[in-house]
Formats: sequence, structure tokens, C-alpha cells
Amino acid sequence: MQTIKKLSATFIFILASFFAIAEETVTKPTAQSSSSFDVDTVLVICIGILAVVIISLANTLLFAMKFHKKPTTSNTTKTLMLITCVFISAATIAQTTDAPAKIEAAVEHVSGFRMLLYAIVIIELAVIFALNWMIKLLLKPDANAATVLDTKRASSFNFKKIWNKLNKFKPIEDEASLDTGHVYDGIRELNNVTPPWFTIAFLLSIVFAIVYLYRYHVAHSAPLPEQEYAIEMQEAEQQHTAYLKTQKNLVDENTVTMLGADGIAAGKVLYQTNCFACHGKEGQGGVGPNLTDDYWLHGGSIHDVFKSIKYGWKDKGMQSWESIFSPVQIQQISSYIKSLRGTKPAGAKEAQGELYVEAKDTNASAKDSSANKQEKTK
Amino acid sequence: MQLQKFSYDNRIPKMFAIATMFWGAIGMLVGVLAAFQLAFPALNFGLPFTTFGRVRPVHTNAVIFAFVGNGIFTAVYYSLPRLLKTSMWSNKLSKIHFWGWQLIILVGAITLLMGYTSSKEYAELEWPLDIAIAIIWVIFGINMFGTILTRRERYLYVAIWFYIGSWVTVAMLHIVNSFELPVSFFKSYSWYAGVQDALVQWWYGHNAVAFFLTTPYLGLMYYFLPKAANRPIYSYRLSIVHFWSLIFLYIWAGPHHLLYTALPDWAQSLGTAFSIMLLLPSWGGMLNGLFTLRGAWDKVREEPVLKFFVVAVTCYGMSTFEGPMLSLKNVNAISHYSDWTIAHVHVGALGWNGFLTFGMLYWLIPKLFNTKLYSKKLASTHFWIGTLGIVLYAIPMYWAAFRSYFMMKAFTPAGQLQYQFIDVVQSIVPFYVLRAIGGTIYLTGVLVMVYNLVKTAKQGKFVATEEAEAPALEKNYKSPVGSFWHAVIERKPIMLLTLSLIVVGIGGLVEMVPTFLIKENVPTITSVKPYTPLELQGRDIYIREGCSNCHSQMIRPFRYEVARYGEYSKAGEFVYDHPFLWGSKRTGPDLAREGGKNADSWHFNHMLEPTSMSPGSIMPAYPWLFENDVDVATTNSKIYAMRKMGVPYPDGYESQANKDLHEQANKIATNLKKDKIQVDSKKEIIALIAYLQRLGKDIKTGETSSNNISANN
Repeated sequence: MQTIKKLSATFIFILASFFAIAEETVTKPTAQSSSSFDVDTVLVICIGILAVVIISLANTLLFAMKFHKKPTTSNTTKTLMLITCVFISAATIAQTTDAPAKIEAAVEHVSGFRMLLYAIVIIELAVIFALNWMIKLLLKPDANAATVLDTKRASSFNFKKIWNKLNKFKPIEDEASLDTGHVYDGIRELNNVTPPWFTIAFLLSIVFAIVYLYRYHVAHSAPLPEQEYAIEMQEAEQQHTAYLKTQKNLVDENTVTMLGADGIAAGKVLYQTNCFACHGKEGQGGVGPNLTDDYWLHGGSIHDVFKSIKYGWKDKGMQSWESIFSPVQIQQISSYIKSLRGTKPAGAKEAQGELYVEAKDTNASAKDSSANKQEKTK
Repeated sequence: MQLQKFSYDNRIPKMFAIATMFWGAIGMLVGVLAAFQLAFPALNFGLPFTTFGRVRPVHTNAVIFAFVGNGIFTAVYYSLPRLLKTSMWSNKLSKIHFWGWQLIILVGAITLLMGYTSSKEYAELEWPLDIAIAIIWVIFGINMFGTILTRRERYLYVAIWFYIGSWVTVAMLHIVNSFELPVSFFKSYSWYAGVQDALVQWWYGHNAVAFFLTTPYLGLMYYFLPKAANRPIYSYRLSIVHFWSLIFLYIWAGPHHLLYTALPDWAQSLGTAFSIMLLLPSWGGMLNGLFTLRGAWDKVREEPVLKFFVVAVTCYGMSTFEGPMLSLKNVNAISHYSDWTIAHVHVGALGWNGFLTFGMLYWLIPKLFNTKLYSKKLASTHFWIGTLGIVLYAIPMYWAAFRSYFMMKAFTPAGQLQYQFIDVVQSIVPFYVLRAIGGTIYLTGVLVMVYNLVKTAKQGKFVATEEAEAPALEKNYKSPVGSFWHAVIERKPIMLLTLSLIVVGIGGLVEMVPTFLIKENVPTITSVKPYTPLELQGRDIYIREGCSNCHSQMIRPFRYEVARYGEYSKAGEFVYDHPFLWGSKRTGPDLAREGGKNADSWHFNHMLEPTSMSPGSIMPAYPWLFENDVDVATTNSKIYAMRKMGVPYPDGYESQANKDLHEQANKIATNLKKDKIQVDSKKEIIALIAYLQRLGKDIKTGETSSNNISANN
């Protein structure tokens, strides 16, 4: 059961991270001036990774020294080397953090900054080669014995071995050598090394945090929430315009016309799932006004009704339905509402607003605006 | 060296263990009720004190402070004396601590059900209880430090570092977050407003998880896991690394609860960055726990105690991996306000806290009663039932979260929202049912455990005290030359305490001080005005009924949120919100721009019978709001308190406030009359409508219907 749980959880996380990556790539192209900074970011990440490699190589080197009997590897050289390594990696990290301040000052220096980053990468690579070379040199005298051992081990390749290596486990039999001597109420403490992957991952997470803050607040190469929003809205706008081009019979409050029986039937369905709570099942009114009489608060032409549905009357509790219904759907609902005129349902609400006289269609828009004016003076 | 005789007291740990089981069962039962209420609104019973908005805080508080809290104290009172070779410093203080804590829980539950709440999550209890908690916490601290200072063990074991770090941080969090101005005996307003209140609250809220649910339990693990497995702790240096890095980094992570909100961007980014760095220090605890079991895995297969511990530690690893992922902005966009967060905390609470507690109890009770566990088989059954419960709880919630996210953000090609809020709610109700079943199964497991442990106690004989002897510590001790630097800290508890406080203080200071002092972090909006007296009363009703448990008031800058709820929220809109009411979960729609969206009569009908206006709604009905009168006697002190905190009511407005209140109430009543609704303008519903109709109306920018608004004016 537990494994299923773990698996599914991991699956979800992987899914989520893929999703996150996908979304990131979606937003990236439109982010302003991202390309020039992204190279820097990648470089900074590379520097971080290389620094970690250097640290682990330095560790290996020290480890290799322990087994090397040459008298030249005295303690002083060891510490010297360690200090150099630490210094170099610390320096690289320090540079990644304070360099951004310089870049901010003048845009022209961007290329100079990048040169610096390249220089750091090259230095780091050089250090890695040097470390590699030293490790090889140290291991050479015992090369024969080592290779024999290695091939023997490699033949019995298994997961447990990798796991042990990954965590730098010592055999349980050797536990006594790790004992700290601490005993608390019978609880002893060993002093195993922290698993190397743990240390590396911790360092990487710190690099991530630095890069994250750098990208958002120094380089401004990643969009902050409001910028993201602007990008998202811009894209939606583009999609919408593209969509509109493919559409023919679009309606708005100026062009809307009364639909036939089919349209009215469709409007009825929409009405009875969305509007009835306030305007009653038969349009008799309740929370909202009666829709069957000749009195209208905001004009009674199909244009006015369309407009009221589309934009709402916020101060009166009529919400805007623009983000929920398509123009055609609003036309259908408007047509249905107009078809209710004079049905006199039971429990109808008393008249509200102005008397609306059905006009000839040609005068409708003029009439609408005058209705609006009356509303304003109220 | 002369041996000194002393004894370990088992009565206090026993009392705390019983309280743990008792409150655990109660807290989970309340949780099961709340879970079923979301699927079947009839279970709200139409009574104020059984309604979800009041029940949910009882569940969270009971489980955190009563179940886990008593679990912590059980562990501390059992392990601390033994790790220090001394008895607890004061038996009297132990007793005051025990009974004081239980009393706070009881009074807390009652007052929460009565509607006395500060609305700040996991800090809902009102000010008299906040003071009581502080006193009891200090008593606990005195007793703990008294014990530590009279110890016969030179160095402090890692479990004690965690106890000390947790104690001092919880004290700091509780005091800072509870700054509130009382208006009456059970009503207060948060000292902070809006964005600042939100920041303080989630600095607290996140670290309630960190320093109440996590670090003390790590201490617990460090004692009981090696005891039960009879294995040495894997790595002393890993303990050091993960202890200090964990407490340092944890405190910064609070703002990840406020991503994409009106919190300043830099604070949000800090929250994310530090949450990512938090992953490995958290895993340090998991690794030290699991690797301690190296060489004892054969025992794990047989010993239920170890089974519980292994799953607990694994769940800890899973949720501390999930946490940093959730704090990445892209992931958080999905999870925030959704059931994903609920799933996440329950993997932690049911898995880590629950299972660690059960493991401890299965180990401890037989020890206390000098016997063997009544039935290993039953304990194993409990283990499987519990695991199944967690799985059945979590998966439907994950599913529901993704489902609702994809539905919420779906647009038609024509640019309309594809689904309305109610469609989403209805589509995830089945998952609420599954989740409630998962919770019930988990609770059943707990009851099995209680039965098993009662039987165990009955077959044994309680050992009230255990005699022990050890030499006293020499005075004028000097560390041997070349000893490890950290050892110095380990033998100086006050130094450890001070260092912990400094380490945890940094993050809070860096995040909070600029937010409070630098004006541009909360840009002022001149059109934002204080609430009218009636709206203020309505707001307090909103708080009392726990509306913010299901309704957020914070629209994030996403297209689908803006299309659904209106213009996204700005920091300057909340400057008079003592406390902030942004919420953390959207079981119902966001209300930040509710004002004017629906008619007064719509709200009237909706509060009386939600399904009449919103078919398929799972919101409970609030019939009592139509019977109770607004308590106008409090208006005066409320206005006064608000002005004290800088809300710009004119001087002497108190005397005029109730006149304005009645005027506005009459207006609403007249408005309702137009829609054939007769109601006394003194009723609470009028105040609530006034508040709801005010929400989000102070700014009117960038709305899709802006042309309409200008025409209307």
C-alpha cells in the first residue's frame, strides 16, 4: 500500500514539475528582453554546478591522498590544496552574487559581465582538469591492484552497492570506529559522514535560491506576478482576435436581433439554469425585476436587454455575464426574455422602472439612449 | 564520585498520553464531521455551533494543540528527565502545565463553537486564551529549564536541542502574532492590518507547522526511534547540520502561503527561495531516522512500533519534499486555495504526526505499565488501517485539486469561462465523500489503538516512579583540549537557547521590518475608506461565522480569476482590515469584489437558504442571523479600538456611529421591501449584507464593464 502511495505521489510531483516547466516555457518567449539575460542565468547555473564538481573532486583528492604513501603529501599540502579549492569555489559564488550589482549600473557593461562569467567557467574547468590530473597521479603506483579490484566489483554490480556508495555507508561491522562515545539514556550516537548527495543537493538548492532571487529581482529576466498577468492577458487578447477572425455572425448590443423559435428555446434552457433564481422560473421576478411586463429599469428593447445581460448593473445586483456567456448565448437569452412579454405568470412582481413602448426596430437605438438618459437623471 | 539517588515520575507522562489519545479521537471525529459537511450540507444542522465555519477551527486547533500538543508533552516529560539523569524540576509545575493545557483546550473548543474567534488560522483563540497559553507555555519552559539546569548529564542530546529550539520559537511566534487590541472580554482586533497582518499571520502559520508539528516531533523521533530499534543514532554531525539549518531556514518560508497575493514581490520571492533551501535540512531528519534503522530492518517487519516510525518518517520526507515544490510559483498557482494544500497537510499530520504518536504510545504504554503490548496483531491491523486511511484521504484531494484547477482556468475559444464556480464545486463533491471515508477509516484505526492500549494497561501494573542513580556534575568543568566546537554549545543550555532565538529571529525581522516601515510596500489608494459602523458590525459577523474558512478575499492576477471575480486585489485595499480576511481555501467563490455583484435580496435569500439562489450550493444556511439583533452596544468600543490602531474615523465619531448604523440599516431594509422582503432593520443579516455589498467597491479600475459603470454614474 505504501509503495503505491509513494509511487502515485511521486507521479503527481513529476507531473506537477513537468507542468511547471511547460508553463515556464509558455510564458518565456513573450517575456521582455529575456534572451540577453538568460545566457547569464545559464552561465551562473553552470558556475554553480562546476563549483559543486570541484568540491567533490577535491574531496576525492583528499581521500586518494590518504591511501597514497608518498611522503610528499604532508598535512600542509593537503590543507593548502583544500584551502585553494574552498577559496576558488567561494570566490565563484561570491562573484555570482555581487556581480549583478555592477551590471545594474550600466547596460553597456552587460557584455563585460558575461565575459567575467565565461572567465569563471574557464577557470573552474581548469581547476577540474588539474584536480583530475592530480588524482590520477596519486592513484598511479597502485593502478594494477586497483583495476583488478574494480573489475571484480563491477562484475557483481547491484543496486545495494550503488546505494551504499551514494550514502558513503560504512559496513555495520565497522560501527565501533564511528562511535562518538556519547550515551544518553542508553542511546548511542555514531558519527557517520553526511551522505555526499545530501551535501551536494543542499548546495545546489542554495545555488537555486540565489539564481531565483537574482533572476526575479536583479536581472528582471523572469516576470513578476503583475508582468505575468500582463503577458497572459495579451496572449488571451491575441487568441481572441484570431478567433474573431474565424467567426462570421458575431453579435453585440448594436447588431443584436430577435431570434426565431430555435434560438428562443436555447435561450430558455440557459435562462432556467442561470437566471431563474433571481427573475423567477417564468420571468415573474423576485430578487430581480419582473421580465414579463412593459416596465423596464434599463430599457426594454432587445438591444437594452442584451446590454444589461452583457455588462450587468453592478450597483443593483445584476452581475455581468460577459465572461460566462458567449454573445450568441446572450442573444438567445435576450430573445427568450423578450418572448415572455405579456405572459402574466402567477405571483408576478409589481412594475419597476419606465414604461417601454415597443418601437419600430429602426428607431430602437435612439430610443435606448434616451432611456438611458432618464435612468441617469433618476 | 558519589552516586545520587533520584526518581523518574511516570504519572505526568501517563496523564499526557491519555490526553493525547482522548483529544486525538475527539479532534479527528470533529474533522470527520467537517469532511462530511462539505459533501452533505444538511449535516450543518442549521445550528450556529455545528456549522462548518465554526467546526473547522475546532478540528484544526484540537488536532494541532490538543492531539499533537499533548503528544509533545508526553514525549518531553518522559524523555527529558531520562536524557538528563534527573527528575523533573517541579512536579507542581508539571501538574499546572497539564491541567492548564487541558483547560485551555476545553475552553478553546467551547469559545470557538460559540463564535469567539480572531479568524487568524491556528491562532483563532481569543485574547484571554492567548494570555493563558502564554502563561502555561512559560510554566512549561521554566519547568524544562529547571530540569536542564539541575541535570546530571553534561551534554544535551539532540532531542533536547529540538525541544529548546521549539519552545523558544513557539513563544516568539505566539506573542508576535497575538498582538491584538481587546474590545470586549471575548473580542479583539488584530494589531496589524491587511498585508502586514497577512505576513505576520503566515509567518506564524507556517512556523506553527514548523515548530509545533515538526521540530518537537523530531526531538520525539530522536528519542523513541533509537530506543525502539535499539540502534545508535546514525550521524551526530548530520544532527548538527540539519538542526541549525532547519530552524534558521524554516522561519523565512512563511510568505510562500501568500504567493500571487498583494504581498510585496520581494517577500514572496524570499518565501520561495528559502522554501527550496529548506528541503535538504528537512530530509536530514528523515535520513538520520531511517539510517538509524540500518541493521534493524528485520525488526521493522515484526515490530508494529517500528512500522509506524518508518511510515511516519517516510511521510515526513514526502511532505517536506512536497512543501518546497508547492512553494514554486507555477505549482502554487495550482495548489493555493485548492484541496492540494489540504492533502499536503494531512500527509504530514496523519502520516508524520499521527504515526509517530501511535508508535510512541505503543512503545510507551507497555513500559509505563511494566507489561507487553496486549496485541501485536491489533497494532499491525491499526498500522494497515491507518495507512489505507491516509491513502484514501490524500488521493481524492489531489485529484479534486487538479480537477478544479483545470476547470477553473478553462476558457471557451470565444473567451468565456467554460465553467461557473458551482459547476466546479459539484464536480468535486464526490471526492469530498471519498476523503471523508478515508478520514473515518483513519479514525477507526485510532479507536482500535485506544482499545489495545486500554487492554495493555489493564493487564499490567502502573509503575508510578522509577528509581535511578547517577553522580552529580562536577563544578568548574573545562572542555578537554581538542574537543569538537559544537560540544561547547551542547553543555550550555542558555547559550543554545539564545543562539536558537537569534537564528530564528533573523528571518522574521528581515521580512517583517521592511514591510512595516517602508511605505511603498503597501501603496496607498486614496479612494479606500474605513468601514461604516454597520459594515464593521457585519464584518465581525463574517468573522464570527468563520466565513473565511471557505471564502477568500484575495483575487490573484490570473486571467481566469479576474474574469471570474473581478479586478485582482491590491495591497492598498486592505489598510483598514484588522484582521485581514484573505482566507486560504476556496470551497466557495472569492468575495473580494462581491459588493454589488448580487442584489440585497439575493443575499437575504441566499443566507437563509443558499440553494434557493445558487442551486447545488454546499454552503450551510444561517437562519439565526435573521433572529439575532446586531449588538449595537459594542459599536462605540469597536470604533474606538479601530481609531486607536490608526483607522481614520473622525474624533468623537463614536457618539454618531450608531445613528449612521441605523440609517444605513434602514436603507437596506427599505431596499429589501421593494423585493417584497419584510425584515427588521436591527437584524444581523442586515449588517452582513451591508458588509458584503461593500467588499471591493473602493476601487474601480480596469473592470471589463467600466464603460457600463461610467454610463451609470
